[in-house]
Amino acid sequence: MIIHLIGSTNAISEDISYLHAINSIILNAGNTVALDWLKVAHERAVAHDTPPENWAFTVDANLEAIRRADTVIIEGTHHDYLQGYQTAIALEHKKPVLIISRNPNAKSPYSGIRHRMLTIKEYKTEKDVSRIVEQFIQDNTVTTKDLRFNMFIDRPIHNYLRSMSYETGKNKSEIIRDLINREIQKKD
Amino acid sequence: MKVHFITAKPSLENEIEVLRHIMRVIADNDGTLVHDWIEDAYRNEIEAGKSVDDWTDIYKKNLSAIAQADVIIAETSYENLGVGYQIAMAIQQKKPVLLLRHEAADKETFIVGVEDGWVQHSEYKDKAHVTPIIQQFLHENDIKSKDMRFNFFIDRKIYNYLRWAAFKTGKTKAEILRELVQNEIDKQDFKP
Repeated sequence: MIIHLIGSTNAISEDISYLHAINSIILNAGNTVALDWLKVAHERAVAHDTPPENWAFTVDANLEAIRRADTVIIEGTHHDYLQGYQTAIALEHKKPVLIISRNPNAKSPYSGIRHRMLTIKEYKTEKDVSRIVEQFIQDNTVTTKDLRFNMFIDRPIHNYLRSMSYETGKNKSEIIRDLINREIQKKD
Repeated sequence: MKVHFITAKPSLENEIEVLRHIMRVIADNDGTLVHDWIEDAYRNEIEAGKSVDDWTDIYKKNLSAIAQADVIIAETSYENLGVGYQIAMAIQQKKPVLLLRHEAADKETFIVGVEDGWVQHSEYKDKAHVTPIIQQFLHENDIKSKDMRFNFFIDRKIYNYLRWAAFKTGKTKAEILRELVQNEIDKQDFKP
């Protein structure tokens, strides 16, 4: 699974150990991070004479990472534009989003966001982080979830599906799933 | 024109006069605030020092305001998760967004990299400088002077007719429809 990890670059020095912990959990579970930004961002934060960041590039890279990712994990203890913007985009793309924070969630603005793809959790220690992130990854691993599949159909197929749906009382998706299952069984 | 005005708590704290000026300019240019929240928030959060108890209510009101608004104006001199979220939602809904920043504000921030056809970034020096920026933004995005998208459902009979007419005339289906409406307008001597 591809996971996009997001954290505050403004407070990266305070969050770095937790971000590394999340990164390790993601990788150790056989997943991939969509954008490997931690090291570079941390080096920028500790250096004093770095040139200004190319934010247009950063925004594009993050949006592309959201598009590629199956899920998004946000460290939201220190939150700013970056997390808010990307949370909205990820949820609009219907990606499961986990926001974790060391601050009480009830007092954070993201506690107001109501979306069925959003999970918000509070943590205190790196052990908490492991438990929460592992659970989130497990809950959203593609092999354990149904997937949405969109396809174009021509009019004869549409007419056939409509007529079969009427005759059998099944919906069109069930008929297609039955057809595929039959094909899978035939090929053993 | 319906305007949704967004800003962060530190702006309320440090720039309330600029925010009030922005609201006056919006009103003076026939703009209406969809969600008039600034003064209430200033009284409660800054003057009375109360913290927000119900973020869900704020979230719902802001999403509803974005949906209703024709344009979005955001004062973005201070970092804020909620403002970032709302800007993204507005862009997703293809609303024109004006991102105002004080020229002294920190430029090392994610929002300065947001580039989209719907977004205008503008820096201001002081209150007076804000006025022409907002006036121009409102004028450029005035519905009276812009084409609008219109989606509607058609049944198969109408679809077949439009396809046939498009083929016969070499016009697009949208052109044929616009001509039909224009003919009807002309017939009825309608004055907008």
